[in-house]
Amino acid sequence: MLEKIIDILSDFTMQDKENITKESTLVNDLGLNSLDVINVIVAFEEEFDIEIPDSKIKEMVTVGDIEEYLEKNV
Amino acid sequence: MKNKPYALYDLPVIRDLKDMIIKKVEQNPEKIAFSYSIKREGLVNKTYKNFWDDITAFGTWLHKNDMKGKHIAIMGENSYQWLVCFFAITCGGSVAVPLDKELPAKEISNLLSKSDAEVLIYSDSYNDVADDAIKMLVQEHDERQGFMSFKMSELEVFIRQGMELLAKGCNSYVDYEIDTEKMCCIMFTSGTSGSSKGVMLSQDNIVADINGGCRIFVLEGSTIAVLPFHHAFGLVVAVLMVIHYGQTIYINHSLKKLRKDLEIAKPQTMFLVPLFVETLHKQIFTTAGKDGKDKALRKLMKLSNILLKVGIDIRRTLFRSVLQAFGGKTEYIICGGAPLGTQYIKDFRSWGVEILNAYGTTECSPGVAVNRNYYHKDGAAGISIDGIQIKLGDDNEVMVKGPIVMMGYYKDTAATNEVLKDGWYYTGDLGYIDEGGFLTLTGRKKNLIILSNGENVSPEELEADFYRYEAVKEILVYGENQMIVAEIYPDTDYVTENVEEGKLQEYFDEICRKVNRNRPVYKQVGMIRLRDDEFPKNTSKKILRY
Repeated sequence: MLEKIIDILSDFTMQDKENITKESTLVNDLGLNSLDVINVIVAFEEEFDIEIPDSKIKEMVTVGDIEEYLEKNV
Repeated sequence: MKNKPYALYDLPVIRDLKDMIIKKVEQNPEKIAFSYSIKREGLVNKTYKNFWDDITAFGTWLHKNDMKGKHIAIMGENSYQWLVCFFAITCGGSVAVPLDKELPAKEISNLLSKSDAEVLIYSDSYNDVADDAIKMLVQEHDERQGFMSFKMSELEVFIRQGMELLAKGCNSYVDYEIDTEKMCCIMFTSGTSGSSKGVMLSQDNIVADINGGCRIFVLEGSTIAVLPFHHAFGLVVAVLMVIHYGQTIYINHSLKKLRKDLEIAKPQTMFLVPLFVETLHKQIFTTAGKDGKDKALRKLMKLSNILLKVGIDIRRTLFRSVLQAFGGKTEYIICGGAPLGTQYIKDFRSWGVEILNAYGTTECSPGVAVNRNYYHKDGAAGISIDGIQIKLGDDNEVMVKGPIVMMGYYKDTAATNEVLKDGWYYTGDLGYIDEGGFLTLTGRKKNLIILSNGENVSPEELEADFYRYEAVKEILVYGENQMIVAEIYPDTDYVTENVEEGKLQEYFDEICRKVNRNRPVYKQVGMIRLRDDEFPKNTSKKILRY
């Protein structure tokens, strides 16, 4: 799961996979703005065939938060 | 048409929001006012007549259930139902209080209390936040035991009941004559519990902005409503003005659906904040870059600009695939809420999309200036809307006078008196007006951080959260390159004892993560900068802001 998440984030941010860890924050470490975060969430929805409610997006601060959400809900 | 001054557009003057809708229904009842997509049902169209019928039915229900005159808060994602609620409330003698759905329950509770709201209408997706907020409100204020709330999904039932009441001759709502000088709406300026102020707007205020704004800019096609309705720009400019033009609005419920919605809506004009423009621009070049076509795109743009200078305009053909990213038919983007770099205006123009900057503030209902379809200046905020005065005060502070200026801040006379003097609203923005009548902004007098998504972030609020950690001795939060930066002077004694050597940055990054948790993305601190010495201070020992 984490590997797939990192793949998507790496593709989206053009950052090396090695630089993205569970602890990386989307805004702080990966440099995403609020619209980028929404777009990357759409990519996760498509990849994992899931719908993530808008109200949950603000809870996703780190890569680990995304992993936790997806593991519980996919 | 050449870029030079020309006559103002001539639209019928409206008295109030009810008058505006009724005029549209009389002119063309079957014209589609709103479109939106619903899962399983697909595309839904609502005509101007449908809209007015739903407003009067729900308004009648509100009157019948003793909600006339009450302050009614609305919280939820953009939707047709949200707009029916707003109109039904404001056209029947009640006061609408639009709230930011992204705020945590504690802040929603504070705003409900601050605005004296007695009812909350919320979308089903924000059930948990609404429940928690109401619980907090009732716990803290015993007199609020009778606070009422209902979900937007119940609206259908209330509309049906309202229609039955209307059929029985219950006409109090339909016959209600709006007092246009009375407050009809409280809009909060920035979503922070400590510093948010409730801007009181009357129908006179809002309608003056619609009448005055529509004379400057003209809309000749459909639009998409992307900006949140709880923002004055997203509501008054991107929805109410479009209704006055009698055009169709496609409602985007969630930004996650934006790409698909643009394909369906094919908007002729979009109302956006700079963050959207910047992100769309980035996406176009990233996509081109992935296909190895970014350099070719730049070359083509240069070529097109040269052809344009000699009167050959083939932009729509050359950049068809680029334009497809916004649905393929976009001619204008009205951009407001924060400054936008002129490079974006130039690049979008190369593709055939004219970005017209606009300037406004919630306190001015909100539109103050906008560039015109055929009279615009790159980098300028636009020319004054019709019916108001703009002048420059001390330090070139922009001041506004006229019917668009708010009634004041709700229950905050001190704050009102600070910004409203002799009918002039002191915007706190600095700027100048050139001989062509264009207002250009140069800076911000106040401390608020204005991000490119148009959101205002109060640095004091974030600083207060950091000060809860003993390791933080002093802090200053500010915006830098569209990012929120927290500069910290650590408590040397505390960190020497508690933080492993060489791990200081990591330690503060962790605090940052905790502070950021549960905050809307736009309010998250993007960078921690540590400093070795104290901040320079003024004589009363307050840290000097940049």
